[in-house]
Amino acid sequence: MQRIKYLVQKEFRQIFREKANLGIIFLMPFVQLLILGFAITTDIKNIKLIIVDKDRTSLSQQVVESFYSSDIFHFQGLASSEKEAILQMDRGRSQTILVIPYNFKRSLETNNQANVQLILDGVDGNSAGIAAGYASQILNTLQQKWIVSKLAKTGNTKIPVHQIILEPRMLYNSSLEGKRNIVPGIVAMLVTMITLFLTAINVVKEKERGTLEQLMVTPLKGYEIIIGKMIPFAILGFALLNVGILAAGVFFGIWISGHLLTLYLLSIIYMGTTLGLGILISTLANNQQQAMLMAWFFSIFSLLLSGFFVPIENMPDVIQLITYLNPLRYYLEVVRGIFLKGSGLFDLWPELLAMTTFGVLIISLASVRFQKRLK
Amino acid sequence: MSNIVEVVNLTRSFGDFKAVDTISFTVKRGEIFGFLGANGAGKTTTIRMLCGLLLPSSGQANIMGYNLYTDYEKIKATIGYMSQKFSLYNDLTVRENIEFYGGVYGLTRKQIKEKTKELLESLNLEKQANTLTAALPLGWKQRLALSTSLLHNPEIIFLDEPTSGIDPVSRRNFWLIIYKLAEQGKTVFVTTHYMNEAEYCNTVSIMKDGKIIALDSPARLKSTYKADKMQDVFMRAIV
Ligand SMILES: Nc1ncnc2c1ncn2[C@@H]1O[C@H](COP(=O)(O)OP(=O)(O)OP(=O)(O)O)[C@@H](O)[C@H]1O
Ligand SMILES: [Mg+2]
Repeated sequence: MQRIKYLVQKEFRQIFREKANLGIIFLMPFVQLLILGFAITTDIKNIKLIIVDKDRTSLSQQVVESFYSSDIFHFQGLASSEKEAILQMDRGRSQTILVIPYNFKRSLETNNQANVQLILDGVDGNSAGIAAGYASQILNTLQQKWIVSKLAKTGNTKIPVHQIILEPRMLYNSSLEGKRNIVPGIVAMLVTMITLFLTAINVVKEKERGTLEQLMVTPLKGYEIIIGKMIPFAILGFALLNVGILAAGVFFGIWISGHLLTLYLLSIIYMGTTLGLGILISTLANNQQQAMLMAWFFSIFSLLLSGFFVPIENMPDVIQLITYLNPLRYYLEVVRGIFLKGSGLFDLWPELLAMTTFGVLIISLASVRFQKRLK
Repeated sequence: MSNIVEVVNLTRSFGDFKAVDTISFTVKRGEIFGFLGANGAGKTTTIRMLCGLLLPSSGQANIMGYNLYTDYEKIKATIGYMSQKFSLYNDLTVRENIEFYGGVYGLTRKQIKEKTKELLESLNLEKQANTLTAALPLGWKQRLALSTSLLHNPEIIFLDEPTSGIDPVSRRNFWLIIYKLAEQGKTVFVTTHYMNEAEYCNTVSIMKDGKIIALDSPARLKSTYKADKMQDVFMRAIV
């Protein structure tokens, strides 16, 4: 116990000695949270739009206005022809073009139906899809407004009206929900990366410098070295978690709705996995580059398969099965659940169970590999 | 028990390559044992096996009567080791390094304090106590490393090329500490590439390609190889 204390003390001295370290550990995540958080949400917010209004009637004017007042589209102006609008798109001044044809109003009034055309810049397919979804949502709302006012005019509210409600399948229902999913996700990602990378690199660095060999001939037991290495980075990860919680609240207005203590407890359990994995990587890697590479490899895969970018329900069945082997999947569930839904331990016990299992497994594996005797 | 180390047919292979090939020797308590050999002869590999850092492929070894395979935890408490790489933390101060190793070896806070004071005095490092170890000249670093590896008062100390790369004056000072240790009854197992250092040893072993090809006192080796200096003994032995 006393020996572990000295190991932890030494580790902290080394971490705090290097001021750049602290900057990287605490500032970088902060910046990442801001950039990622805002970048992902502003993209969906300010889709550049040019409208070609060939009809120029009161109804087409209403269409223009409803797009103009939307947060999602950034109205760039009217164009006189499709050709001109496409030219603007090629120059990057527009990502979407809405074309309202001649006879828009007449067709609506006589046939109760009219078409508008939406031209999308497919280069960024993701944004294009989202833009299309939003566009139909706006038109839908307008349509409902018209029907309601028409009914009011006839005075006959008893007439059964069948509204066609279009439900576009979108990643995000509104810009707000995207942000709400992403920001807690970034917090989970940061906790994962920091604990994993720092642990792996720290131990490998000692291996490279030869001090690990010196540690191994001391009476320190293997498990004592592992614990002594895990504690400092668990504390750092924990501090970072709080920085993340604070930043999410201050910059994005997303405060956790569940219990802070539940998040703390489950985060600490989760860190068992990432810290253990860091140690495991250090036993496999011979130098810092190798360790970085392995940690990257793991991070990327666990992020892709966690539901951070793509909801797990939208993945192919086989991939969905694989995600069950991904510890981050559970932690992401935990963080989002506590942040957004106010989930408690009672709701999150499957995640608790899964993360505990992973933690125990990986730490045991790391201990076995981290034998006192070098290979 | 006058033999502190007994090695019988110790072997270590890496794949097909035998880095240490069935070597046998004994080290007497209180002697300075010089472990010579060209680069890649297998010196470090041997030391790492004796310190329990590397599992032998075959063979037996006892240190202080403890079996290398079974009593390895007990061995660790009684040996000191200075690896070929610098074994202290460059980004800790001199004092912090001493405190850390003292703590890890189970010294009490009070003992650490006393030892630190004693050590800084004897090494003349009082002024540098709070400077980063990285800033010390190599010769001082190595003496500091030696002193910290002695904090737990080991019976035998393994030094892997402790004087390589340091100036003659520092080397001399380093060897003065080794003599003092031997006077106190400690056993010193040391590897070196400096043949004048080999002259100071009680027993010298010369290794080549994983095998021990010569093992005796410097005086007897010189007469066997009909040489005046250990330098010539070495050259004649390894060709
Ligand atoms: N982990 C390892 N894997 C493979 N080969 C190794 C390993 N460790 C050492 N060797 C090889 O074993 C041989 C002996 O190495 P060792 O480090 O024991 O030599 P040495 O006598 O200490 O040399 P030097 O004077 O350069 O320190 C070398 O050829 C080395 O390349
Ligand atoms: Mg060597």
